[in-house]
Formats: sequence, structure tokens, C-alpha cells
Amino acid sequence: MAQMEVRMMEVSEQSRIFDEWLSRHKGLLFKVVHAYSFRSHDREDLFQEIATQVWNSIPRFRAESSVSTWIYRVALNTALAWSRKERKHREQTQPLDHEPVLRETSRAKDHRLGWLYEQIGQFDHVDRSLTLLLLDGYSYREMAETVGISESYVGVRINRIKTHLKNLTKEEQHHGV
Amino acid sequence: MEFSEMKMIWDSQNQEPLYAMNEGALQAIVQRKKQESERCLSRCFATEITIGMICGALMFLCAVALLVSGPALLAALPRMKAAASLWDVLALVTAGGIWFYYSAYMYLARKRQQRRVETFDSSLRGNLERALSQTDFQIALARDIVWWGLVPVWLAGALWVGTLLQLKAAPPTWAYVVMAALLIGSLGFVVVQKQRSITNRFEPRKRELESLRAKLADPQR
Repeated sequence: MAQMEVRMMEVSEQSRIFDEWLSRHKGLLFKVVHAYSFRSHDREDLFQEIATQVWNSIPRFRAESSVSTWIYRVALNTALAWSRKERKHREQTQPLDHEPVLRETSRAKDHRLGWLYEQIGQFDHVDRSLTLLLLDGYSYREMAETVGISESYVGVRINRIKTHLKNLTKEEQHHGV
Repeated sequence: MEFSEMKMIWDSQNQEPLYAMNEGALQAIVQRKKQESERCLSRCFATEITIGMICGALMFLCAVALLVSGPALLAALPRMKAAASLWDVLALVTAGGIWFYYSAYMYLARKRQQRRVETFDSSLRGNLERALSQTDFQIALARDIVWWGLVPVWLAGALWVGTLLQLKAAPPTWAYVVMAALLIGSLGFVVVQKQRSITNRFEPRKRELESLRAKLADPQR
């Protein structure tokens, strides 16, 4: 009985942390979802999956990194696993059996944001993760920890990503867009 | 466009998020998903363990019943021998033992699987290593289970059905042939299914994960 009470307290504490994390860092989740899924049904699915994994990760959080880095890490790992799974079931779109969790509020006012997401969507998983982290201002050390590679290797890839993006913008300008 | 400008464009979504979230619905879904995934894996292993325990107990009960009140029991059933031999009892005890062994094998497999999941860090590479280790485990289990799980269980089934036939007053020869064909056929079917799951499901997943890991390790890729 006492064990059950302790467990219930743990669950309510977990719910409190989950709500707090989500209200503070939901923007970060939206970015990962938008970079990894391209249809509203898929976005809904991926968002739910990430939220579930964030919930599951709460007991493992040891405050060795910041909450946002931790959530980014969970979100990117989940997006990778989801992409692999989703490729297999791409044709099987099932109707939602619940209220939608995610609602699009507005189209980006700056069309260049849409273009940026489009380009990020073309990258492989490692570069996509690094680009999101880079754009959100994470340090090389945090990126290295999140992705599990060395800082120098992060540097190499980041330079390549920046050059690639710059070339793409030049091409776009060249075509008069 | 310079990268600093891209960053400014990127940061614009912090002021005006692209989405709104229904928090109540999300909480409900998260709880449901969490319970579903936990239940699903536990249920698979629990089913195998329970089947092993029930079959093992059943075999032992039959063996005890034959040993304690064999003649009376057989007399109550139509077209049975007058008495069971010690070999019949021994066959049932062996079959029961094999089923219990199968339960223990599945229990240990579950424990091994739980331990494997806990040993990786939470980075992308750690996650990849965990997924790879999990896939390796599934391939090994699908291979091992044939020789260390299914063949013993198949033997237990053969002993059980063979003993039942043996206890009949005049067992027809065709019954032995049908029994052998069914058991060999079912074992063959399961072996082919396991091999297919390795070739079509686990090995492609493993190759995909390995290529991702290689990409993480090699800056030139």
C-alpha cells in the first residue's frame, strides 16, 4: 500500500515536470516536428511520439545538461526512430481516433523560414540535427554531446552545412527568387 | 544570405510559434501510449512464460496421475491399455521438465533484453548503439530460440503425443505418421518464419543503423 502511494506521488510529480517542460520548451518540439515531418497527419503522429518519449525520459534526467538540451536530444532521437518506422508505413495513413493535439496557428510570415525548413528537410539525419541545434544557438560541445560525436567533427560538419546553405541562397538569388 | 540572417529568420518563430497544442489531449495520449508499449512487450514474454509453466504443470500432473492411479485412470477411459509403463511416466516427466526449461529460457531472455537497454547513454550515437544492440539481440533470439527453445518444446510435444498414443490399446500406425508429419511440419514452418523475419526485417534494419553509425564516425561521408 505504502509503495503504491509512493508510486502515485512519483507519477503526479512526473506529470508536473512534464507540463512545465512542455510549456517552456514546446517551441523546440515544434521545430523538430516541422523539420522531420511534412504532412499534418505525420506531424501529429511525430509530436505525440516525441511527447511520449519526453515523458518516459523524465526519471532518467540527471541535470548533467540543461533541460532544453535534454529535450532536444530526446526529440531528435525519437525523430530518427520515427523516420525509420514511418518510411515503412508511409502508405498506411490511418484516421485519427482522438482530438488533434497539434493545430497550425499561422503560416510563417517570412517565406524564407519555409524555404529554410525545406532545405533542412533535404539533409541527412546528422546534418539535420546539427543544423537545428546550430540555429538554436547551442555550443559545439552541446551539439557533440547530443549527437554523440567529437567537437572537432561537429566543427567540420557545421562548416560544410554553412557553406552549403550559403550556396543554396546564392542559387536562389541567381534564379531571381 | 549570411548565416546570421538565417538565424534571425529562424528565431522569428520563437515570437510567433507555428503551432498551438491541446495539452489535455496530449496528456491522455502520452499516458495511453506509454502503457501500451510497456504492456505489449511484457505481454509477449509473459505469454510464452505462462504457456511453458502451464504445459509443464500439465505434463507433471499427468505423470503423477499415471503413477498414483494409473490402472484406475486408464480403465475409466475408452480403448486404453490396462497399465502404463514406467517409460510412459518418464516421458511425461521429461516433457514437463522441458516446458519448465522453456519458461526459464524466456524469462532469462527478457531479463537480458532489459539489461541491454539500460547500458547506453542518451546521445544520438548512444541511441543508435542501443537500437543496434536491440536488433542484434532480436536476430540472436530468433536464431537461438529455434535450437534452444523450439526444438526442446517440439521434443516435449512429441513425447506428450507419443505417450498418449502409446497408452492406447492398439495404436494405429497412421497415427504415428500423422503425428510425426504434423510436428515436423510445424517446426519447419516456425523455422522458416524466423529465418524470414531475420532476412526481411532485422537484417535490413541492422544495415540501416550501421550505415548511420558509420556516417557519425566518418567526417568525410
